[in-house]
Amino acid sequence: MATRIWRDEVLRLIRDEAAQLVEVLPRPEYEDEHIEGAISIPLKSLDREAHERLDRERPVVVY
Amino acid sequence: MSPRAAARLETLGFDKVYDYVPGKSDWIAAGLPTVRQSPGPPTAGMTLRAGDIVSHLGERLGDAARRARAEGKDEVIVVDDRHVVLGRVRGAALDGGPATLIEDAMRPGPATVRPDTLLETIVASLGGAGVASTLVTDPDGRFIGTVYLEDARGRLGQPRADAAGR
Repeated sequence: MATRIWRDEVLRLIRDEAAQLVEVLPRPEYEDEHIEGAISIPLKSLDREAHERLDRERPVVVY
Repeated sequence: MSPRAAARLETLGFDKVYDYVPGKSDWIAAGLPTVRQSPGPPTAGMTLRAGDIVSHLGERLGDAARRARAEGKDEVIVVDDRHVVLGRVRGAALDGGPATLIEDAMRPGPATVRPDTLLETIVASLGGAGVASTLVTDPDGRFIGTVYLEDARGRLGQPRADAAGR
């Protein structure tokens, strides 16, 4: 089960481990406003896009 | 939605997966950077001033007042060791007995807003109460800065009428 984290840990993972931030909400919500540096992979597209767009060696933070 | 996404990524073979539970709204409320399609209405985070004098419960009032006045300030913000806001000491209260502990001099539990609070809301609230400023904290209550009524009014294009200064 994925580790549940809060803001301070997100910031640490980005700073120290080059974590990848992924917004899994529908694309319009991402386009309206998203966390700086986050990419959009809506939940329904995850199976198709995860392997193409995410680096398996780096932490992945979803929101 | 994010717990399902995190679980799915793990089944796809990703083993360093984290679920940012509070998500985007928490990030925005903390005043951290985002990318927006359109500017949106002005918020507290756009006008807050940093550089306030902070103090701790165990500091002597005289020491805190001296630091504040040296910076031309008329107020100190009292925080704990995590920078969570506990109170304020303002104006004449700074001139109390110099040996008094800040804990005994402060007015506890000041009103605060988040960086994403609309300036329009703040102006209505401060203006209505005759208050000149309000503190801005992140969602965990940690001090970020101060929004002044005059700055907020200026940002909204309203006349910079003097507040009562309380």
